[in-house]
Amino acid sequence: MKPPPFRYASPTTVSEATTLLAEAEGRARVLAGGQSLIPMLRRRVIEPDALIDLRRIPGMHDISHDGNGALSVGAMVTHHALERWASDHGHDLLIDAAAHIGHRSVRTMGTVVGSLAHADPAAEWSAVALILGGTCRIAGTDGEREIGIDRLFTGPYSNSLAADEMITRLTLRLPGPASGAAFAEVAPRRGDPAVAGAAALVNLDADGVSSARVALIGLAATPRRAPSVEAAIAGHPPSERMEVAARAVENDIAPLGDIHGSAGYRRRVAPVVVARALRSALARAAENRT
Amino acid sequence: MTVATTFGKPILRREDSRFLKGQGIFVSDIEVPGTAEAAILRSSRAHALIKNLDVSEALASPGVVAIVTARDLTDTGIYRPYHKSPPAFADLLNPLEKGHDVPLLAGDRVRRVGEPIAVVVAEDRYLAEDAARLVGIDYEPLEPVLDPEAGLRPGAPVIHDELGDNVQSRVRMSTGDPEKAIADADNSAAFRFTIRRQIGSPLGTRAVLARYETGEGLTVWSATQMQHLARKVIGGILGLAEDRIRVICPDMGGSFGGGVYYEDILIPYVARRIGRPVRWVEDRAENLVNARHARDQIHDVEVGFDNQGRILALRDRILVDMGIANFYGLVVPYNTISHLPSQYRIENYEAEATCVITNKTPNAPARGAGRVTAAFVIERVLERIARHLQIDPADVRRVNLIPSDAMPYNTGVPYRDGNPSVYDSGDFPAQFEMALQAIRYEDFRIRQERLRAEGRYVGIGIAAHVEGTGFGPPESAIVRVDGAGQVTILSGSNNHGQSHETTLAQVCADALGVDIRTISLQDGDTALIGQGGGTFASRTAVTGSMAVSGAARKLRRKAIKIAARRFGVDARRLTIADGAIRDGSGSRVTTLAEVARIAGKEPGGQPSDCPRSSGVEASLEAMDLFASPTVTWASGTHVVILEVDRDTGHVRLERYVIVHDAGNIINPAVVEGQIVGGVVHGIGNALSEEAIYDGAGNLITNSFVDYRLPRARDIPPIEVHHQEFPSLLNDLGIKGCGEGGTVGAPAAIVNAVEDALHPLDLRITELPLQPEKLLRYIHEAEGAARISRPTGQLKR
Amino acid sequence: MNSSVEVRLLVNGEWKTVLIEPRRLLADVLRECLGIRSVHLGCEEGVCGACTVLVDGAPATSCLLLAVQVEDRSITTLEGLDGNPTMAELQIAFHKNFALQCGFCTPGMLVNLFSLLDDREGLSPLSEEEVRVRLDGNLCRCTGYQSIVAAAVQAAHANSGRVDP
Repeated sequence: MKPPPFRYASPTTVSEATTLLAEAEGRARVLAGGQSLIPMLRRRVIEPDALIDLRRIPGMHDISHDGNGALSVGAMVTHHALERWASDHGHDLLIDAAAHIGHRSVRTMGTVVGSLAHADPAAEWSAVALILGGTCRIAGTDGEREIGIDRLFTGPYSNSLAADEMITRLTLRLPGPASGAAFAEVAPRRGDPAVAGAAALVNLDADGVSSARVALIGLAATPRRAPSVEAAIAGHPPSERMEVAARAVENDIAPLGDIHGSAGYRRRVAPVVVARALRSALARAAENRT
Repeated sequence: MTVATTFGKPILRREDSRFLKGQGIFVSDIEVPGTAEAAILRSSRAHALIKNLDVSEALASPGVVAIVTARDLTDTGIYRPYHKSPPAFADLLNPLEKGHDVPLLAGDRVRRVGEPIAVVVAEDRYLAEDAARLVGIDYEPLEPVLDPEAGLRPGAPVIHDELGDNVQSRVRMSTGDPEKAIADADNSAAFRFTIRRQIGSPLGTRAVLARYETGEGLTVWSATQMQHLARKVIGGILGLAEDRIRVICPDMGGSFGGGVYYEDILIPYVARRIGRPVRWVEDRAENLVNARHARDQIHDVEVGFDNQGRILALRDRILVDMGIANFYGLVVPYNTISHLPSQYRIENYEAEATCVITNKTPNAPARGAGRVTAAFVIERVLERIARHLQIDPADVRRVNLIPSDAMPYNTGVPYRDGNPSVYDSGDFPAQFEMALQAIRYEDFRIRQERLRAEGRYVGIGIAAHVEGTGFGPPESAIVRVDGAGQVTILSGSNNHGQSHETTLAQVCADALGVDIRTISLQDGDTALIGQGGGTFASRTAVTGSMAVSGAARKLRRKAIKIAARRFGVDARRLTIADGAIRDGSGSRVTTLAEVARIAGKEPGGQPSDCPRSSGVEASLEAMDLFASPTVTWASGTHVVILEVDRDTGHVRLERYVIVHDAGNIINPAVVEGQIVGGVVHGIGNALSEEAIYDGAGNLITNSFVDYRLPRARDIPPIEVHHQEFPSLLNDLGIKGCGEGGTVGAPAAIVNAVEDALHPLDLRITELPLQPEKLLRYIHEAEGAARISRPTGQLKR
Repeated sequence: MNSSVEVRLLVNGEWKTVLIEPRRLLADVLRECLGIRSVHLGCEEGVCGACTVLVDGAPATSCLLLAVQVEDRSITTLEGLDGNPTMAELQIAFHKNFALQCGFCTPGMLVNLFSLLDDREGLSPLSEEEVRVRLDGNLCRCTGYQSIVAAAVQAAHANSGRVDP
């Protein structure tokens, strides 16, 4: 299980990187942490001509918070770096999600943006990004563009990037003070690929849930929002609607089966993860309101 | 006077220091100058003809040294990896046992995914893998047989033409009159149990390094459990005298089953052929696809029982999914048959096992070989009887346990050496009560009521196991003292984590009368000792210890004899302790070191001290050999408490108690380590480990992401309690303990899951029980409960 | 295409330069180019942790890293922690608790647990649960983990009581 030969480049600017990508005409892969890429190389599932390593490009390792709720995560920011930042700044949703990613040693090198670009339908950060209005800054040889995270995923392990493009950073809108957010997951075991996962963000007012966002992983060809769940819970006192909202997830999913869980199993546990994420998000929101 | 100074004490492990510094030497660490590295090209088809094999492009790939395919294997013997049962057994049961050749490299036909097709040797592994990708293979697909029932159907493709059909072997055993007893019983029931395929999965994969030189012959470093058997097989196939072959097993990253594999023969073959040392290090995907596949049995069981839950008769028809070859004859299927009655008195018992060839990896012994499935079946049956009669599962066991006054107890089932299975010592009811007391069974039942009311699903499960240990060929040992008083044990066993450097030294220290710190052990090397059994089947504590003890005692007598002659003392008055030889008054006469120096000078130096006619050889060393007359029976009772997440099917283990009888214990900490490790292996077998093939015969669980070994977080506190009923079959009173932990765990856990969900009448018949599978059972049971259909499984 | 590159690594405190193909995995480079034998390949998939090393002090599975990726960074293996007092406590605790059998997973276990203990210097006592969570990244097929968890907790305790000069 040794990787096939490839050319390797570690450019120092984004434009150099995108030029290299363009030159490879789709036969190059961007290397960030490599925690998904290297296993594929080892099994020779992919045999790219070149790897473009982003490690030497300035700014790629940075996490920055603009003080207005926008958190910018560079393409080389590792799971653990974000986990640590979240822990220092008290963002439970991010802490929850990170804890489900592999194990500590994998989180040292694996990156948040790399995980999104890999477009694994079960990647934890994608659900987080979907409910936090995540946007990706994308650089290509023709310049830069910004897309919503929902427009990144096009299918299992496929994204909407052109051959010369790469994601340079992810921006998340962190939840406000009157809200609560949480992540819940079912996997064969902790750290295994998710069978089903849900991230939930709720805002409470005096009448109940004023707004809710829920996103799902492992329950369709791509990570996705759960509009039926959101509609079912919003505008109601939470306790009354939990069951209905969780069951509504049925309308939001189209699970695919694999070795980690059949479509049927995913369908069965979908309401469970939704309920768990919502419950925990509501509890946090209630706590934040007081 | 012999003072046992170390036996029974938790002496710290003497092998630890090198591993704690990362200085263990595994096969992949051995440095032999000029070594080329091999990759093995394997079949990607379960069953196909090879129409064309083209290595020309691969040969031209950078760094390639050689590529060996079946066409090249014109100068090897035939690998017929199948052994017939011993005559004493065959005469009793007259089993059907058919043999067939297994090609070392597939030539015109492949029979499973992973079957070796070519050995690609290059300057390093990366280059070898590059070249392997360039070998062109044209397959013509054949229909694969992927389960044993399909393999038995008329018209099924025959996998080995020589066999005529897909039945490789069949054995039937009957005691009492089960047919009549079932007919006469108050109650009877029938079940089908399916135990899926599981993989031994040591952390260290296999590896083989071979060097052939005209002068020294063939040297093979291999991660095998049986160096002497490997030598014999390699010699037979390569046409080399055994004395021209040295097989060395350096440190090994565990093993948990298996013996001699294709690669153990292929790599030496290639090294000799190309005249260069060659190493192959198995990668994890190869390991999971190729090595130590186990379990994979279907049981159709019929049981008759009275209204107290006493089993009156049991019949079992077993199908074993053997994969493409049976390397171990009836070892596994007959282990299942002979261990199935377990700790229970079952006077009317009949079982038949049929080994069916399929297009999968060979089914082989792995930790708990054949016994995991046996314990699962009998304990599931008892649990179902309890549910049917609505009596506590503990009470059903109480009426079935073999009473202590019936020991030694002959089960009526011959063992696979042809001897009767006689449980030599033990007290099963006491063991059972001890286990229940340790876990506070009655208290748990009260807590369970309370938690159920809160909507929590906690359960308790019990399983017993027995294990015939100390099986197999004789083990040998040489004990030697040098002139500085250092003691060396050379053993035919093979240490791959069992702490032999500690335990065998303890046995030697006591038998010889020396400080354990003066002793070192060498094993796993055919150059050390002419004959060796190796370490498998929970045997070394029994056979290895007895051989060491025997050799040490011989040595002691010899030393005393020499000292007596030399110093003119009555030998009967001499004792050895702490390396000093003392007379009756306790004053020191000499030391072992000095005796070794004296003996070393013989026979030339001072013939009068030690005349040739004395029968004492001219060095301070002795050899002994031990074979257990038959197996000695270890046993255990497992009790587990767990909680089921009814929404997801996840099981959280809360507490695990095992009471275990390993006879006299050399080192309680080592035994505890074996048992706890075994239990955790069993936890994986119960809840997460399954080798899954797709419809085309690909093993899809071919990484540790998918083949899920238990992790630290999956493990509850495990308490080990010991009973010590000395074995009646060896002087040290030892029974083996390497596998029992694994044997009982799956049964106990599955029983506890049913118990946890008891308001629902779950019918778990399959192992392992992953969350998804459990949730399916829960949904089925909920469906059945909703329409309150009469349950069909229990007759009458 | 197969051209080799020069890569400089700070391995166990010493700068090393190796000339390698970019595809070479850190674990292989450590073992084969630098003779570091404590790094073991168990699963080659980042699951078993037998190849765990520290990259700039943080645990990482060296089977899932290209050596070029960690150019100019500090790589610490078990050999590099020899003599470190925290590691010494761990090694002693492993020995006393029978926390190893075949010894194959042991170096990776020790390195990962070392980083756990090291990170926690001065914090509250290490709980069993924290150890178990950290051991998500290390498989052991022999011991059943119980002794390893006990050893880690014991070492952390001993470590917190130790007064460094």
